Amino acid sequence: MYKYTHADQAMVDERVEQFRDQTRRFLAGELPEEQYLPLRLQNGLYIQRHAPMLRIAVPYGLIASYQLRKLADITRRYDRGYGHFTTRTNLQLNWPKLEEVPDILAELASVQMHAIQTSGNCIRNTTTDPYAGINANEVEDPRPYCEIIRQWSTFHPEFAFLPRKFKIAVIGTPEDRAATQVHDIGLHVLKNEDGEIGFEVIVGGGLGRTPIIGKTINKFLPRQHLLSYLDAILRVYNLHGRRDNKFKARIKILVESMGAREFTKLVEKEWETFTKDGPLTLTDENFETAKSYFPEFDYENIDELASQTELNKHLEDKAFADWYSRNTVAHKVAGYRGVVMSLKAGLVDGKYVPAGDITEHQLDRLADLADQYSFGEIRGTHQQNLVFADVKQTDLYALWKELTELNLARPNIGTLTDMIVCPGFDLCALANATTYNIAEQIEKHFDDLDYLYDLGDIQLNMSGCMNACAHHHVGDIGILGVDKKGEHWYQISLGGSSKAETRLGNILGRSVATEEVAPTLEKILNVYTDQRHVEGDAPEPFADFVQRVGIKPFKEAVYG
Amino acid sequence: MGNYHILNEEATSITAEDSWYAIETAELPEPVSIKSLQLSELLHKEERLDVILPLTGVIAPTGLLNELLDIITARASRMGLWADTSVSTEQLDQLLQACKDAERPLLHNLDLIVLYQPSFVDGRSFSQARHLRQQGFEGEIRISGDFGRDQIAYLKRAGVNSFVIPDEKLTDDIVSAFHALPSSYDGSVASQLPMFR
Repeated sequence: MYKYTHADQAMVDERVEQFRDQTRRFLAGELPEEQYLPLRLQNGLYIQRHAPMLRIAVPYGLIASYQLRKLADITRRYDRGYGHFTTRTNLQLNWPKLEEVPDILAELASVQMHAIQTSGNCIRNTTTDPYAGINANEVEDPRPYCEIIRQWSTFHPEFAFLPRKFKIAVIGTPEDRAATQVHDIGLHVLKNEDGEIGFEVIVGGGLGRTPIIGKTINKFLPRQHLLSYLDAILRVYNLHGRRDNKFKARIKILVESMGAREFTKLVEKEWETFTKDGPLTLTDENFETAKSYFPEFDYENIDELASQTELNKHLEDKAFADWYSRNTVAHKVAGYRGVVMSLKAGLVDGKYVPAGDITEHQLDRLADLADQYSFGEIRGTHQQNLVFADVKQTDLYALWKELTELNLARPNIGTLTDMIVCPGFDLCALANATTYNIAEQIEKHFDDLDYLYDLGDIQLNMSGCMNACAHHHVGDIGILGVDKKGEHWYQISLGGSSKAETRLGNILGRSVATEEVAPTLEKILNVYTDQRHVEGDAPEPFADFVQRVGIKPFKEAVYG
Repeated sequence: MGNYHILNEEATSITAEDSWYAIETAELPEPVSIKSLQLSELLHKEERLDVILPLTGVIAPTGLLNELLDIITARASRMGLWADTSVSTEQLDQLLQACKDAERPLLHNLDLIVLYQPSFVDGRSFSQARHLRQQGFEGEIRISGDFGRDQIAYLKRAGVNSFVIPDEKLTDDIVSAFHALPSSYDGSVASQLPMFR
């Protein structure tokens, strides 16, 4: 993975000192609240319902074992012994003390980590495919491009006070595991007929209170222009994006209001006039340098037959076989698999463990397991899970046993209980409704694993307010918490997707009361299990079924 | 007007040497310059002065300004312009084109553009400064208004080279703000990214 140069290290160290001084001046009354607010946000620090929240950056989701150990140590010493992984693959601390935040940042800087630009109206953490580099059908590993974008956007002097936040995602496969079409900019690595590498550039996607799918403004941007083109997009947005209303300030509103064609014209004009082929142009040598930080690991030459025979023996253990089938993914190198650790433990000792939460003990143990089984690296996913990308097939059984002890081997990846859930009203100052109680209700209601397997792949996303941090618009099932005269109600939508065929879900109808959420889901799922087509032993997936039958049969089943 | 200071890129005060007078119009925000002057005063001055006019007034002069522009420029020794963040890049381009066309010789030697930032979070001034530099403007770009000391280093990198700072904000340690994040870059050169340095 990328290792800091002297320049990177100097930059984060300087940033820690700068923020320490800003916090000191704020606490001394020298820095006004309205100026400290955007500055602390750009250092990842929110003020939440009960306490500050610090969001630590995990660039494109990649963490080394020594960094995991530091994170474990920080949660122990400065927080309550746990952290929370987000859909942008960052790690949130929910209980730090404001005056200790500069010290936490200094600790992070000692392991090449920081909280820079994880919040605020600036360019945020760039995200990517959690299986980057291990996909057989990948055009190219997107991470070198993510790292170039990270370096370009970090402390970019011109784009630190944008109209609103700005999120970029990059993928290198036709499958989309990073929700790129609902990003401010989505980049798809492509190869053209001449074998040149470039990007499809998608702009103006986003969720929140105005969900919009991004528009392609450039079908093939040769890769050497990556930064000059991003520069042009950002400048057009910075100068033209609305600043009078924060709910209309995202780039999606600008693109929508002027039309993608007009927006593209402005970008192309800015680019052609000023920066195309200028000093922001990247060279082949630059790309080779960037790629050199993401080399292929020293994979063993594995005897496939022996490896498979050993695996087959273990697959006779049904619990292991379930986990293998749901929680591991193919690897381009024979004899290796990717392993997904579920951070959706569900009910542990009868109590719901919030999606994405992880304890200091788990962090420490995962660091050891990463060293032992996966070249010392771990990755975060958009679904708030973690991945060991490079595990030998013959190590899977031993790893599974270790993960089982840690409550990290729940075999529910891709199923109904692999929910994306925001912290909701329990922790977040923006939320209108609680989410963790609903997730707990769903866990209790749907506790039969065989039933969940029978339902197959279903993405359930639940947000506690219309800001849509849990991407409810693009879940197969979306749940949105709303406030009605102080009571929490829940609006359900169906048919969304953040994959290659990104779609916004359709609202089922009027919202349902707290205690009715799981029973309503059951009615919805019964429509599916009763009416789905089955070919051989392969039932029509839930997503396809909803597209085929539409919302009507679900409405009838729920509202009569 | 309150008490203001002007600092250059090195955080050195250039207040004493500053010779600019902003011409008072209804739209003139405080502070664009440390000194201002009514039109009538300008007309009664014996000596020629360095004057700052509203940018929008110069590229599309209307009313009194239109009639007086020639007189003003005839009585000025140097000309500067001010604009707030609502001015568009098209207007900036029109201005620079007008400078090239040089119907008025003073415009040809435009020495100063003051960008007025009305609120701390209004980041358009950063792109306006960058745009002017991209267009080849080599004069002084001065920032005034409600920018904060924590933005100074970024503003410098975006192309700003002087700063109007109110008395109460001119603390002894302000020089550190001019040199914040010394290892980071100006955003315009790929070879300056850490991995390519």
